[in-house]
Amino acid sequence: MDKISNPALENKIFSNRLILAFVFIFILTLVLISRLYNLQIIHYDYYTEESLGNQMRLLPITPVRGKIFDRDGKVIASNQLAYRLTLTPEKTKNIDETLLLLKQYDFINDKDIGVFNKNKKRYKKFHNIPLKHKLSEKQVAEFLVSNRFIGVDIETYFHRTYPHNDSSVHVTGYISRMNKKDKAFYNKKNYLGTSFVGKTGIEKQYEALLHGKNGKKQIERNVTGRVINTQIIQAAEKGADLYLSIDLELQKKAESLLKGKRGAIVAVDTTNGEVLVMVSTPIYNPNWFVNGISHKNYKKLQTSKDIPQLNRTIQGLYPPGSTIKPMVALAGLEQGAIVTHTETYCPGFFKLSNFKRKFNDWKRSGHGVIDMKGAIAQSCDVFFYELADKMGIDALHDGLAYFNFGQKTGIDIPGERGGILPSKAWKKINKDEPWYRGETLIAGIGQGFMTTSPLQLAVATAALANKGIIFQPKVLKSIQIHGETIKEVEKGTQRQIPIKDIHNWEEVIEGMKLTIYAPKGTARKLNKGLKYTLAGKTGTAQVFGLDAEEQYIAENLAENLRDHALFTGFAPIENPQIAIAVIVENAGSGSSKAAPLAKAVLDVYFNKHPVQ
Amino acid sequence: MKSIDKIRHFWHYFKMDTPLFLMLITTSVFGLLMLYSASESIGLIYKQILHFVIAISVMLVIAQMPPYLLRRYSPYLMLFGIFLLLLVLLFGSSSGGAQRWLNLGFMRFQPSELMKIIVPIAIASILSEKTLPPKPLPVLISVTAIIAIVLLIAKQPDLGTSLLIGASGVFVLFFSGISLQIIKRNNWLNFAVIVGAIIGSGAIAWNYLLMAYQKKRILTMIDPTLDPLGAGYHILQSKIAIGSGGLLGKGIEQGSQSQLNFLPEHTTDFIFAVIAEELGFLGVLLLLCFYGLIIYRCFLISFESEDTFSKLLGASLTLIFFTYVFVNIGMVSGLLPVVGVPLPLISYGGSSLITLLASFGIIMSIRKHKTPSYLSKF
Repeated sequence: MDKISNPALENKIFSNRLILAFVFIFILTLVLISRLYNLQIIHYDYYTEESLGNQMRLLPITPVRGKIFDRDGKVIASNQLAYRLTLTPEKTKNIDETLLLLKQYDFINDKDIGVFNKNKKRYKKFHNIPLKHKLSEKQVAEFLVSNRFIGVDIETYFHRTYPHNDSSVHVTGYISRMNKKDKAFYNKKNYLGTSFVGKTGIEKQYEALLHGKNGKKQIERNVTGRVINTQIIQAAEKGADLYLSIDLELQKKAESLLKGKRGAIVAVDTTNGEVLVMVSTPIYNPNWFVNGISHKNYKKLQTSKDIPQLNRTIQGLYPPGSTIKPMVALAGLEQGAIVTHTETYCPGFFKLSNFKRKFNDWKRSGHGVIDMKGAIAQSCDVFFYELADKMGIDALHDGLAYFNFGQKTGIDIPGERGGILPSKAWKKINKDEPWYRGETLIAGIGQGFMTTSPLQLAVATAALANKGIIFQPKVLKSIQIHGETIKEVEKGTQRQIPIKDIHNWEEVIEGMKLTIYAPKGTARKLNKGLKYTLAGKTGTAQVFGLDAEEQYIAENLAENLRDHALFTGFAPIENPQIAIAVIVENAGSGSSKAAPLAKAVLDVYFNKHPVQ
Repeated sequence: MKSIDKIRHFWHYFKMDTPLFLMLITTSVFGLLMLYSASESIGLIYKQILHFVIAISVMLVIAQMPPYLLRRYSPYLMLFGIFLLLLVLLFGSSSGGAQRWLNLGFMRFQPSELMKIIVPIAIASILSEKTLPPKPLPVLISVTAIIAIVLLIAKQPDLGTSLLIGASGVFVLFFSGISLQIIKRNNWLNFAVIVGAIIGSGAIAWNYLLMAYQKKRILTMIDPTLDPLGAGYHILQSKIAIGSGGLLGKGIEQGSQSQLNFLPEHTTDFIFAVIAEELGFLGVLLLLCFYGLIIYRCFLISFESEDTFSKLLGASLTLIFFTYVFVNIGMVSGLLPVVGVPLPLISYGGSSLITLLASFGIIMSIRKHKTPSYLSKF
């Protein structure tokens, strides 16, 4: 040991320094304590929330979509347990590499990758993003065995299926992946876990009912994202099951009748406006859209001249042709332009005074002396030219407006169009031209500017049958909210056509009856073996105007310029139950091309509901 | 001799400061409890208990050696330490971009750990040659030695350890009463040399020795939210853990941050955050009390010791112990950059624990070997 030369000084220096060190330690400890106080006491709430956010995450539970049934409870749309591949970007080391590997193993293709990359941005952090829907069982097995894709999982979900494929597609519609517009439109909170949404038809109309209410679950995770605990905070509420007024059996019959043709068949219940049949052809497969439609199929649908996606029953606007005549007749009776026994002579044409042009009757030889009922039954054009001319276009418009022509029926299927019921005012507004007298004549036989949808014809025909009640047609019959009993929904609105003489209905109906039963009735062929009474009206609507002297010869015309074949009718006459409208585009004569289809559908109906 | 006498006899010659020993054991048991809560497997606890057994043995063995032995052999210790550091630079095995270990075949050995003790011993030895306050020459020698060692370790690179080892040397200078005296004597030349050396080495360190990740650590300390999943992630998660602990904590094994692995390195460098999360502000104050008692006891021992070497060594070892505590808690709570300093007596790990308890062994030896009569016996 060295000798300590000046212990007193050394001790003093050391003690001073020790005290200094103590002060130093004390101050730094205070710094630490104040820091911890700041974190643990002052900002406790903030960090508590941060720590909860770390481990807990609220995730939506997607509700099971409601099913759709026909009126007899046959399944039209349902859900199937399926498997889908999902990827969580935060859990995947290299997304592109993983996608490439998945492609190599044939789990996904380039299109799936494209869709994934597009969708990616829409999801929140730590969400598993769907990569491929509806894996085959083989793929599921292969995936589970391979077990080499980190961040890629298989999860179950309910896949929408339409078991009857293309049948009733225009009624049911389809669901498909939500696009940007859908995302903006639907309630964000309720659609957090939803990726499919109704795009057309009932699926779109009743999206709110079908979708249900999504639930919430809280998952607790560790840092690798592995779920270690799941707690359901709010269970999802299943969407409501819908029962349509549609009769699938009739529907399929109608579809088979129209197979290979462009056309539409609509039938409504004359007592309440329920839609029994609503067929538009060509039909297409809604299942395509659920899986993500292939480019080929989509192009086919889009470019087809037959426009399969057009719901002709509500969006197809056709000149009604002669099917309008009973309504014109009623308007004439009501407004006193004719009386029941008014007769006219039909030479086969009608000529206005100081007017060059001749207005031909479809029957060039003429019908001779004919009264109103006969004019309906034999579809005499001259009688209605004269009547229309006498009434004038505005009176004709008012009379037909009672039957809801020119306005939407208000059916519960999106996309309906109202057609045109012309008047002087209408022409002024839309064409900026004065009304010509000749245009009144052809309006009287349902040609010219006038257009109607098949549904409008069916609803107007039903109003004839039930003597003046215009129903708002409705496809939804009843709903079953999860856990409750099936309940009928409210019927559509109804409205009575004002009538001066109640017998006028019977006069017009008599004319329609004669169409079927009179020896000269245009649809007389239908009465053979008829097990019910039927009243109807045929129509052959010109697609374009022929010159006065020209003879209509179907074979000479391009297919799309040929006449549309129409038929409207109802049955039974005494106690009407069903009204029907048929149109077959460019098929020619209504009596031969449309009327038999109506009868075939009605036969099926009355087999099911025999007349006592 | 009766066996009870044997024990008494042994006890008489067995050098150990019982209060300090009990404080260390209490803190260690507290640490083991927290480690148990923070770790997933009980195996980790067994290993750490083994580390403690070894470290306490080392401590008690060192406590039996009189301090003057250390002083006498300090030059050799220093040369040996520098030799080992050079070996590390030349032949050391590396891990994670740093070359810090010597592979001895049966174990990996980190010479920089050894320097944590050797540097204060050596500096204390140099400065206590003559009466305090030290003359410029020993100060210059000390400063040069400190800078050399700091640079050697920083080159590995191990910035945190090198700075702490440098600090341990500087602390000895501090306790020797250095700076004021130098200024008083107007020995500006020496002072300028020292200041220049410190600034120069700092500049060299920033430019050549700091790796990109180290600079980033310093920058992310300023705002950890800049890069939540990168370098700032550790700090952010540990702040969440500490803050969500509140006053009373979430309870043992209830800390979601640590139990669900959001908190990185929660058994080693970041175990303080586990304590703060599970035991709250009060638990943290308790731990600080443990540390405070240890520091108080050690300072008392140093104060009461009778030779300059022991005073300087004991006080600076104590101050460096506090520095570890401060740097670790400061780093975990986001006050300081993440430098990789374990929480003394608590963090999992063997080598740092052994060095730490070895330094407490020296302090015990100072306590028990203070009287000249004792010294004369050797």
